[in-house]
Amino acid sequence: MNAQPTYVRPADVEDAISIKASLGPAGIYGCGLTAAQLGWGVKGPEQTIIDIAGLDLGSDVCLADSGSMVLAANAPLERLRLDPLISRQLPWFAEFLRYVGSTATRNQASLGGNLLWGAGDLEVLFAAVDAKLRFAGNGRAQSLGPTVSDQPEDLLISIIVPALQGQRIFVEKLGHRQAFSPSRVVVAGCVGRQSARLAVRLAGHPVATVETPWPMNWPLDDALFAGNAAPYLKSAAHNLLRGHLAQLAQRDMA
Amino acid sequence: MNAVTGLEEKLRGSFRYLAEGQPVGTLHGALLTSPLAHATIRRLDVSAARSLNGVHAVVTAADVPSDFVMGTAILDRPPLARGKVRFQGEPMAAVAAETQEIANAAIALIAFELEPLPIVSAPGDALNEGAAKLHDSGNLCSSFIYSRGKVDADFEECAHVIDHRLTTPRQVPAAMELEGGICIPSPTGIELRAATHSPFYTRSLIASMLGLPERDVRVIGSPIGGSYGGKEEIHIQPVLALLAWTARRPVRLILDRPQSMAFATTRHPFEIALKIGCDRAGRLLALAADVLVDNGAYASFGPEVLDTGMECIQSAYAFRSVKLRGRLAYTNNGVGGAFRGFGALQTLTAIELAVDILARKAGHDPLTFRRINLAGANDPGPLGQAIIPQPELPKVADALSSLPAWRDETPSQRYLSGTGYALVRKGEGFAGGGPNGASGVLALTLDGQVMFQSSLVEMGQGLETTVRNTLLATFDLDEADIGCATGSTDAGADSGPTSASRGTQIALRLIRAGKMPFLEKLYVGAAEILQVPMDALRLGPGGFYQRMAPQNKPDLSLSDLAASAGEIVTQIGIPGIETMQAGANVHTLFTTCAARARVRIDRWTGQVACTGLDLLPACGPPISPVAFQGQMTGAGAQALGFCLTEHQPYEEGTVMASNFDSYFIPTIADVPDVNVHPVTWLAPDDPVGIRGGGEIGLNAAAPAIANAVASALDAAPTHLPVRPEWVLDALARQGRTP
Ligand SMILES: Cc1cc2nc3c(=O)[nH]c(=O)nc-3n(C[C@H](O)[C@H](O)[C@H](O)COP(=O)(O)OP(=O)(O)OC[C@H]3O[C@@H](n4cnc5c(N)ncnc54)[C@H](O)[C@@H]3O)c2cc1C
Repeated sequence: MNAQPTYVRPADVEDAISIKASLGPAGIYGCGLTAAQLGWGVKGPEQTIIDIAGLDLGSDVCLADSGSMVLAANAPLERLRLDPLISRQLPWFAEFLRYVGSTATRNQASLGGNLLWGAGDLEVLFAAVDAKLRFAGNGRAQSLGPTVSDQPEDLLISIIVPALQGQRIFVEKLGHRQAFSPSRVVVAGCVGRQSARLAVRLAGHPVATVETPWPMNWPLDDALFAGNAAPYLKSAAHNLLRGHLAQLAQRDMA
Repeated sequence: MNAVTGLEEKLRGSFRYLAEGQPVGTLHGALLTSPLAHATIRRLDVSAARSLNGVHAVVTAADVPSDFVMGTAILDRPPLARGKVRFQGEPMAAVAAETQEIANAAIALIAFELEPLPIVSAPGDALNEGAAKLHDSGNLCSSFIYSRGKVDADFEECAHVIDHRLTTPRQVPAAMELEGGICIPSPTGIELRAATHSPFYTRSLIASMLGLPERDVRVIGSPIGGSYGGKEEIHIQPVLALLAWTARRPVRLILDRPQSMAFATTRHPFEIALKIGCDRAGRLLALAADVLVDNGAYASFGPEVLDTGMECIQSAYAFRSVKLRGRLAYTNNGVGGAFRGFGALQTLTAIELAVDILARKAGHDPLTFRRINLAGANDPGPLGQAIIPQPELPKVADALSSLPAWRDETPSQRYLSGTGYALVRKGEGFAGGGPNGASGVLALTLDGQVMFQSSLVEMGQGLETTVRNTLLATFDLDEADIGCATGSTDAGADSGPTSASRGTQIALRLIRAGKMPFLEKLYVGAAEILQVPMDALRLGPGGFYQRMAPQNKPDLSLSDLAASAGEIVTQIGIPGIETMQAGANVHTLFTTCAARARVRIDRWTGQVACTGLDLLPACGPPISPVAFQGQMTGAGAQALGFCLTEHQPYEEGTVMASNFDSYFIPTIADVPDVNVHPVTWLAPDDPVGIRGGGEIGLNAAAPAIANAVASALDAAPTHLPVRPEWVLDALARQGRTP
């Protein structure tokens, strides 16, 4: 039987930050806890969970005047998937969410948790579109990258997806079956008129991102394909990226 | 009537497994299982656990009679490890306590010392001289040898010969319901509520372990929340019974998923090497097969699985000569056991792949090649035994050839597609020696219901629906007039195991055999009460009607008949349909099925998706079409898992997938619509009636999927499940990668 975790429910963002400060490493932020519980084992969590699921971090989805989209870090993924504004502005995101967990998982799982967990599929997509994470306190907005999940001290408030006029987005996940699977490979790209930003994660490795001119110089940058990953994962990732980019290039030519 | 029994409860989530609904005061059970795959137990000290407050029983092998071992053909498995552990997850001790927390704490207090032994992790290694022995008898658990004709000479005569090797996965039953149950002791006996395919067999085993007369052990084994063979084996019942009998309190013991993934019996991985050849006209001449099976640590149903696999390795074809060798080796990789398809799945997949390779080599299309090589209707069985004639074989082949063409797929640079076929047969019921006969009861109960009682179990296959439909049709009664009691020892009628696709066939044969004697008793009783001759009466909805004065309600209701005549009971017995053959376990009744599958292969990732599946089971007319379709769709999904996604790997005896986040059963997104085209024709003189649909769909679907992969890639899989890595390599070898 699993031990029951200890929770605290902060009243607001300030309260959450001060609880975290007082608990130090003995406390962690938790939202849907779908990712965090994967590492608990039968003993349950060692830390106190600071439950941020109910905090007011703004509306789930907000379209800023600049055309960028601001998404609340604690918004459950399924709510985002069904959000009409997301469907209109970021249809590739809504579509891709179908491949993240299952409906039941997505009802609990949050966007922030996915981006900070360290192995979330959305990290690849959001790295490709160069989304920024806004943390509480210092107001810093940070790109996704290897250092992000090293900072469990900071409370993620929102995610800003920049305006993407004219950019073509693709994203694909390769799992062990058609749906409801951990990913083996995730690739994503955001292709503009003159440049493309590509992101890849091979299972067990961090997300790799490159900026490249468009139309592209082949071959693809080796740095995208983690050096010690299984050859199959590298080949599949390579084929996926090449395939999607070739389709876009063909469309450009047409 | 078409509704599936229990459907509403299942949809509403109110359906209860046997391990739920325990009486107040039930103790909680927990198991200590071995962390090592092979070790000598040097010390097992339960004294601290026993003295923990709230603990009512702690049992180990010392509490089991020393000569008590389990198995079917070979008895080699103690319910709790005795002196040695042979697989990771093997139970060593069990506790019953007031709460689950106390039970777990007691388990943690058990002090044990295991001295590691060398691990036998591959069946080939197991049979090498000098390999560590799992059992004193050595690592060869069982073997099979059969030959017919002059194989070497026939290979010489062949115009075309091919070799093919296939290794198959260790598939996990992955039933929703975990192994477990509740045991309630009384001063003189016990009531055991735990899923089993065979309540009477479980009863005799538990009674002998506890030293009780069988009549003092009541077993309720149904309904089952999915088994696929996994609960055909005795699972945790002996440990549960021992705890309850020792504690003298009701106990509930249920495994968790990781425990089940290590403990539950799995499908045996086969390594199959085949050589087949045909003449210039495409007629199959010779088959040589060598099969090595990873049995895991205990015999369980391994010997029967090997025998069935070897019996089916010729599929539905007439080879002039065959030379077959099969070996079953003990390893420390869990325990292999009964699993839907029962060895035939593995060998049928291999032979059907080989048949396609040979057909292509000989320049024939796979359907014609199959058609010209079909066994004759009155041919002896695959091992030369007398069998029930199979005039349906050509009809199934014709139906397969007449399937409407697939709709064209949009051509794509990314995807390749391929279509595969299979035509297979497998023995139904048990081989000669059985248990093949069965008993059952037809009774008019005191509340006026015509009740069919048997110990056959409902495991989601639709047995109860089929029985109810048959009772309605046989006796021309209303829904409210009929009943069906299954899955326990209560009826006193041992119907034998609900296994080997025999459940439905047996139930229907029992009802058919009991119909006339039972009706006679009813008519005699009714005629006596109404004071009219028997032939003036007709049984219909609600009771008996006088033929000459028809009314809209019965002249004698069934409940009035029961009130006057008392309970009317007909005991039914049917003999087994079986052939005894010296030196081989052979089946007499074979069921046939064909399949067509389409796959789509992703040239970028190597992933294979099954996009279409047709199944053509020749089981006669389905009695409950919904249940039959369910069986076939489930079979398609399980075949897809076998071919494309499922495998439980072991590394040095360690279970690598302990939950469904690393063991991948197909989800609904992977399974295409399964189109079932039943071949309903039965020969007018067929002595059996409908055949069971439990396994045969799976046995045809898997080779069809494997053949579809082979046809798309121009390379036959040598390893299942098909790995995307292998697909990309195969494409690269042919210069077909993007
Ligand atoms: C059955 C199952 C299937 C899954 N399938 C997938 C899948 O297909 N793809 C996928 O990507 N993931 C999958 N996951 C993992 C997980 O569900 C998702 O990544 C999810 O989005 C995590 O969100 P959460 O709210 O549950 O995170 P939590 O578990 O609550 O948190 C994850 C981590 O992020 C930190 N954190 C969370 N929110 C914040 C915040 N606002 N500020 C600071 N730190 C924060 C936590 O401290 C923790 O370290 C699956 C999980 C399960 C159980």
